[in-house]
Amino acid sequence: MMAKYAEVLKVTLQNRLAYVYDQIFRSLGMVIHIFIFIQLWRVTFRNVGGPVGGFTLPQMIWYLVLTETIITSSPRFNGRIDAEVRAGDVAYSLNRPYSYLFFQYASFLAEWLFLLPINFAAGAIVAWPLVGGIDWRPEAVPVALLAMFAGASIQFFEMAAVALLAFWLEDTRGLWLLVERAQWLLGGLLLPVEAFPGVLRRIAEVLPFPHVVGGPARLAVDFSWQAFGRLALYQGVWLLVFAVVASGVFRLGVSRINVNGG
Amino acid sequence: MPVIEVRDLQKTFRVKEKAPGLSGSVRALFHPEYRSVEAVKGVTLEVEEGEALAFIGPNGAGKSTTIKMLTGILHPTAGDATVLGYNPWRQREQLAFHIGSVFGQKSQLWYHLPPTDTFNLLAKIYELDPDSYRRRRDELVEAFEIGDLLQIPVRKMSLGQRMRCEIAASLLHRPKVIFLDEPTIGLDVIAKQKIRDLIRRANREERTTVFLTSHDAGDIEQLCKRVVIINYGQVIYDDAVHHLKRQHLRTKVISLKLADAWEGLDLPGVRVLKARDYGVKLEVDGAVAATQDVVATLLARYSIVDITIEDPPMEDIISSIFAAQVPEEGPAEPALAATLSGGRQP
Repeated sequence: MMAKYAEVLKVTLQNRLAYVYDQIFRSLGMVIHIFIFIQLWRVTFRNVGGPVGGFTLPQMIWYLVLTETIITSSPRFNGRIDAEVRAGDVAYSLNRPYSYLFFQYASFLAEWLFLLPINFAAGAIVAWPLVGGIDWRPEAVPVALLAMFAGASIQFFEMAAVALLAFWLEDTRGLWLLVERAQWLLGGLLLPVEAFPGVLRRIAEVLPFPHVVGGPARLAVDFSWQAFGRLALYQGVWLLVFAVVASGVFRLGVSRINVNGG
Repeated sequence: MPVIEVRDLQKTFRVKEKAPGLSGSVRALFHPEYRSVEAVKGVTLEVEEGEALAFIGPNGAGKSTTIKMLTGILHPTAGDATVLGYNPWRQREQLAFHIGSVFGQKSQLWYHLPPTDTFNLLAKIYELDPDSYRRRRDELVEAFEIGDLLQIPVRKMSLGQRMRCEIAASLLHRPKVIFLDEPTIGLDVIAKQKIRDLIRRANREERTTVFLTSHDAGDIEQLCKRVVIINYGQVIYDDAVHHLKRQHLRTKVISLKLADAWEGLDLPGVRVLKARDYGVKLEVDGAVAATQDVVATLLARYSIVDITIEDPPMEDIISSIFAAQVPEEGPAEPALAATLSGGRQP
């Protein structure tokens, strides 16, 4: 059963490799981004005179490299699903023996696997010479990667749940834009959630966003098994919630599907 | 034994309506209004195992909607259907293993990858045993003459080459019924012929039931023995293709570009549809004159720059069916349309 989705992942990855140089060129934008933030954080750390949100300057920069990598490596499947629903193309996958949602999920993961190393490399080539490395704990890398994978999965089902509303709405891209901006602000893209002021921090922590963006990045630069356990629990809950919601929205949508033409 | 049984199948879409202008847009926000569109109004038919059926009609007649219901894509508003004993919309996934579909305007091949990658993916999707998949793939590669194309990215293929790969892909899992929606659309004459040969081969040699929709009269003539015409969501004709041909497909349209000015042609069975100085369109009634004789006369009399010979458009055939059977004083009401069916009354 899983073999078909593994093959979808493989074929999507092969398909994506046709664009590898194009993607490397696009990821260069991240180089500029990280370079600017290094300069800004240098000034901030100089003025504060100590750690910010519990992070040293190199930790903060590597945290930033990772959050940027997480955000930029999440392929925008909301646009694809939204367009397929509105054009009626989703219907053509219904007469094949696979789940539309899992087919898209496998494609999403393939693109994520393709983008992640490229984007990380683009951030690392600036961070490494300018702030140096940090003391990575050996277990931090695989565990953080696992957390990033879980975060990406949450992100996919969250995106799918919103995009599948196209069965009822004219266009869901505006709605996703709101979710995405909330994710950037409350997910800890630029600043760890732990450094947020009290109420905002408490609000952010119960939302799914920091468990997709900041949580996995923090785990990589400031690893503890306790933090991992807490993050895994939140991620498990949110993954279940969004997977159930996306499946429910899809089932409801399909039952009232209207395909163009006829 | 019928592999497709359809009883009074109906589909009504709800279409949102909006009055023109800004006020209409604002009103639609708070009081959306809907109109019901009856796309399929009670289709009844049976298709036997190994049959090649042309299911045709003008744009918007309801044929694609019917196909989408028969493949489980759409839920009908009323009526019932079974395909290979399965209810398509309730047992969609089980049915999917036994049917194939080719939608001429919707590719299933991955655009940037060679077809072999899509074939491998489909083998996994249809849960084919690796050995039988390889044997089947090799068989189709040989039959469809696509050995040279297997490693070429689909984006670099001509439309005809792509369609050969599309149909091969849809036959990989040995479907018992294949639904073909405009499989020759946009192809040149040679590519069309090739595709028709391949579909015919699948139908005759493997007894794959073919359910074809097309606007191309050539597809219908060459591939199918039976034709069902649907218009305004109802079956208006269900009979053998040779009857349709004898009654309604007997004309050919010849379009000419001439080096000399057109001076007319007086031949029995030939009607001038349109004529300009150096261009002319003629209709030849096959019952009165043979197309080849008309062409020979034209070649003898004019210096011809370009010539095309076509079947009349499907819309004209359908109009002629109406014209032949509908009393002049009344429009074709649904009840009346039902009486227009030929041999098999739905």
